[in-house]
Amino acid sequence: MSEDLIRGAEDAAARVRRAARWYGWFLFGFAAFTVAWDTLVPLATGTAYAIVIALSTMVLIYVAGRWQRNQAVRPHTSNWWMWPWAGLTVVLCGFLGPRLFGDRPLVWLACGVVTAVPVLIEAVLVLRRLR
Amino acid sequence: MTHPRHRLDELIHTPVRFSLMAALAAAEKVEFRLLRDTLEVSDSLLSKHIGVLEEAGYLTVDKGYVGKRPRTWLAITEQGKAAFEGHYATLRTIGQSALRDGVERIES
Repeated sequence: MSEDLIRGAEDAAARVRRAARWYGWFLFGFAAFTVAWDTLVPLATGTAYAIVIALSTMVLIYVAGRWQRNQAVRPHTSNWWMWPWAGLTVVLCGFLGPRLFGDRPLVWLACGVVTAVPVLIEAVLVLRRLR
Repeated sequence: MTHPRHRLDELIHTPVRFSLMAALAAAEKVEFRLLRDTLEVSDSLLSKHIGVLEEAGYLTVDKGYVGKRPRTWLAITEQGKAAFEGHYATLRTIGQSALRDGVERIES
């Protein structure tokens, strides 16, 4: 009896954890967005290019927010990764980049990848935790 | 009063409520419909169990909208988490002692 109860409860918990895995994929998406943003924005020259980037960013944020709200499970989250992500964004893309990187897309791409590392680590941890 | 069964929480001992608590403990918030489908119960039965657990302070119910669609979110409270973990540990203890007794009986 107690074994059946426990098994049933563990099955239910496992199903909820599986339904919460969207958050890991969401973080992967956010990491990809970080790389794209850090690569494309510094190279923006001209108003049209800047408008396209700004509009696509707004659309992306809207779609991601809507998708997130539609998920049936909100997992336990940890926000530790936001601090290194924000720090790297400010230092690499806001301070060092404009002074050292110039118009070299590959350097900005590398900068984006480095900035996305904390997000990617959290994404992997989330997916491992929610197995 | 030494048998572990005395430590069981009557409020969450029914299979549906125990599984409901386990499901809620696995996340921050879970939507009503997912719980209903996971536990394979009707809306009314799940609502009844939720009412009992909410009254005991084991979970909170949060009603809202996503777009125009109404949604009900449930979350386990700290009190509920402690009750669930205690109940779960007690069930495991009972299961293990039953297993041990069975093995001893076979050996003797």
